[in-house]
Amino acid sequence: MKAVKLWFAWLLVGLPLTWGVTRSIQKALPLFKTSQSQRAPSSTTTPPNP
Amino acid sequence: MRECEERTVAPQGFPNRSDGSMRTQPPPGRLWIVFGLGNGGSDSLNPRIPRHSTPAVSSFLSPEAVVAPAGFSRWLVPPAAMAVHLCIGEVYGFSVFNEPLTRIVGITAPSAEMDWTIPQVGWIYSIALMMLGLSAAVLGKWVERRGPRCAMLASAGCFCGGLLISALGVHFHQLWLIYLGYGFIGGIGLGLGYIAPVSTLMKWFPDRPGLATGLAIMGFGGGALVGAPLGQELMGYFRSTTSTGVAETFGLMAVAYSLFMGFGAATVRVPAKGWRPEGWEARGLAATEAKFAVGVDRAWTAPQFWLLWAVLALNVTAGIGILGQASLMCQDMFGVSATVGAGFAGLLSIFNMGGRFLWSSFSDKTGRKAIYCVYFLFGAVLYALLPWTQQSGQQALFVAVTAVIISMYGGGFATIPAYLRDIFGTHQVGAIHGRLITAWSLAALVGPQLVNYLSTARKAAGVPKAEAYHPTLYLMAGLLIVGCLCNLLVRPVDTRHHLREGGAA
Repeated sequence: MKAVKLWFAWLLVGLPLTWGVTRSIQKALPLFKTSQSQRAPSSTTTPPNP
Repeated sequence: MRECEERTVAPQGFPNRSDGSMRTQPPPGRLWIVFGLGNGGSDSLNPRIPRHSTPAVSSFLSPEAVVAPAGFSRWLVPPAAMAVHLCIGEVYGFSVFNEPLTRIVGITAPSAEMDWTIPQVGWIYSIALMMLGLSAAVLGKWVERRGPRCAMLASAGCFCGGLLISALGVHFHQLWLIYLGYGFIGGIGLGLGYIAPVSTLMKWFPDRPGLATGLAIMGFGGGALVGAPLGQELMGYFRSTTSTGVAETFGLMAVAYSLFMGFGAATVRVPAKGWRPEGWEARGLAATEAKFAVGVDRAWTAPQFWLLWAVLALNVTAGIGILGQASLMCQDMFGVSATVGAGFAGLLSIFNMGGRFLWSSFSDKTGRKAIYCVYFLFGAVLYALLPWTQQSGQQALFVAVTAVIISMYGGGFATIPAYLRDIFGTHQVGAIHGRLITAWSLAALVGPQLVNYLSTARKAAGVPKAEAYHPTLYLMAGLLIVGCLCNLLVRPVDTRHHLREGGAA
C-alpha cells in the first residue's frame, strides 16, 4: 500500500512536469536547427522565467 | 519559545526502517483522509495529550495532526512539497498573459482608449514578487508555528483566491482587482507556499538536506514550464469573438491548482520529535548543528544572515541578467530569429530547473560554502567568456555556457535553505529563509531593470546590437566575484546568538 501511495504521489507531480519539460524541449528544437540565414528583427518578448 | 513548547506535543522517537519509514502500526480507528495518503491526526500516539482533548486538538489543521503517523514514508514529503511549488511557480510564466491582457476590450487588437498597456499589466508580476518577499519575511514565524499543512492551505487559499479575484478583474475590466488578486493576495500565497515545506523537508532529510530542498525548489522552477504552456493552451481553448479567454483561464487554473495544492497539504507530515533515518548518525557539521539553534529574531541580527542575504541577492541579480533577457540577447548577439530565441529561453528554463536539484544535491557532498564558491567563481569565468563566444561566432558554445550559468543560478536558490540550516540550525530555518527571500524579491525587481537599462543605453549610443551586452556580462561576472567574497566571509554563528534552555538567546 505504501508503494502505491508513493507511486501515485510521484506520478501526480511527475506527469505535469514531464509535459512541461517536453513542451520546452519542443520549443528549443529550432535552436539546434538554426542557420545563419535566420535573421529577424528582435522585438519579440518571451516569458521571463527567472 | 512557543515553537519549542508546541514541539513537545509530538510523539517521541519511533523506531524506524532503513527507508526512513516508521515501524509502529497506525492507531486503530483512524480515517484515511484526502487521497488516502494521510492520517487524520497523531495526538493519540502521544501520551502527553489527554484523551479527552483529542477532538479539539486533533483538527485537520492543528500542528499535532501533521506529525507523521506510523508507517509513513519520508519520500512522500518531497512530492507534497513539489505539488505546492509547481503551482506557485506559475508566477514565472505569468508573462504569457501580458499581451492578451492588453486587448481585453479590443479582443483581436488593443483598444487605444480602453485597454490596458504593457507597463500597466507588468505591475501585476512586480507586485506579486514584492509580496512574495514581504509575506515570506513577515509570516515566516507563523508558518513555523502553525506547521506546513496549515501554511500550504493558506497558500492555496491566497494563490487560488487571487486567481479567482483576477478572473473577476478581467471580466469587469478592473485592473485594480487584478493588482489586488494576483498581485497582493496571490503574492502572499507565493511567499507562504515557498517557505512552507522547506524546513519540514530538512527535518525529514537530515542526511541529505540539499537533495530535499533541491527537489522542492526544483518544483518552483518547473512551475513556469507547466504554467506558461497550460495558460496558453487554456486561453486558446476559451478564446472566442467576445473573449480573449484570460478570465476563464484564471478561473480554471484556480480550481486545478487548489486541488493540486490541497493534495500537497493533505500529504505533508512532520517527523516525530527525535526521529532520524535509521543507521544515520549526526556527524561533523550535522552533529554541531544538532547542538544549537538560532531563533529567527537573533539570526536577523547576526552578520551571517546579511552575508547570506548578499550571496542570494548577487546570485539572483546575475542569473536574472541572462534569464530575463535570454531570447532578446540571443537574437541580438547571433542574429537568430525570434523563434530560435524563444527556444533558447525554453532551454534555459530546463537547466534552471535541473540545476536546482543537481547542484543542491551535490552540495550534500561538497558542503555549502564550497559549492557557492563554485557557483560564483566558475560562474564569473563563464560570464566573462560569453562576449568572446559572440565575437568568435561560437553559437553552440554560447548556448552551452549560458545553460551551465543558469543551472548554477537555480542551484544557488535551492542550496540556500540548507546553507541556512548549517549556520542557524533547523529550529526556525523556515522563518529565517522567509526573511532571506527579501533578497530575491529585491534582486528580481532590480536585476532585469539594470540589464535592460545598460543594454538599451549602449544601443542608443550607437554600439552594434551584437556587442551591446558585453559590459553587462562583465558586470555580472563582477557581481559574482563580490558574492564569492561574501560567501567566504561566512563563519559559524557566535554562541551568544544560540538559543538556550527556556528559549533565551
